[in-house]
Amino acid sequence: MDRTEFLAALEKRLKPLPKEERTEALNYYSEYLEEGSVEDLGSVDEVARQILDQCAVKSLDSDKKSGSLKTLWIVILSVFAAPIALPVAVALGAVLLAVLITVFSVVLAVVISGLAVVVYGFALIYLAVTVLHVAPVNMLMTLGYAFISLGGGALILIGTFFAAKFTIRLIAMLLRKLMKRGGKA
Amino acid sequence: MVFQLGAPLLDACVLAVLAKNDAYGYVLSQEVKRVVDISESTLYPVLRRLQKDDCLTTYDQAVSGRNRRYYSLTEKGKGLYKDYQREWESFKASIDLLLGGNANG
Repeated sequence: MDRTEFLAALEKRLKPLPKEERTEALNYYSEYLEEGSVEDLGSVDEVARQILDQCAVKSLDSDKKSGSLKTLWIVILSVFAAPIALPVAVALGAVLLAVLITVFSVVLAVVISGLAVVVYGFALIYLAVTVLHVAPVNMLMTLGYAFISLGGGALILIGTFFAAKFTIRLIAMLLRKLMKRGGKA
Repeated sequence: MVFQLGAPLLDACVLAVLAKNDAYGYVLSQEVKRVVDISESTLYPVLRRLQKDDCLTTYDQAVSGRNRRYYSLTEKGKGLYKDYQREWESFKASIDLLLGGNANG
């Protein structure tokens, strides 16, 4: 293998990396090969693996907050990639799916309820303004209820959004812990 | 090599070489390999990590139309090197108590 072949092969293996990392590595080895020989470097696979390992470690550590959903996907895929019996893998995948569907359903139900409350609030405003303007006291009271509904409904919707985000992050974290433990074992 | 060279010790060796003089990739690896039998593929990740941790900085110099990237210690790198030197002296002394030339049973 000559210089150009080595560097081309290395570039191919470093594709998963962000552009900056890949360029840095290729620059280093390109520069090295101006004086050193390709034999010095040994196997392209090994060189690439060392670089990828080091970058992967770095990014796993810093990836704590972002991409909870991405983590979820990675875990789902790795469940199927793990070298365990296919039925078990399918079962685990099904359990995960069930949990996700449950969370989604609950969230959906609460969101619909929240929306209903908000709509109720608007309905009350309409009622107060069109029908009850003849009876000012009743109108004011109804408007009061209306705003309580609007506020309450909005709070439910906002709360659900954060609760759902939190739950997904929680699940992702638990799965990541499980994956780490499983990886060590 | 009978005894394993762990990551911190390897870092220390790289820092030590650069403490004497700035060096670029090829020369640096030759210097390190004079003393320690590591493979070329191991060295680059070490350099990259030290650089990301702000222990090393780089600058480029053009040499006969080509580019050479020199590595040099930052203040933090120099500090880390001194720490490693202390750690090594202490470690060496401990092991010498058991394995050292002056031990007599």
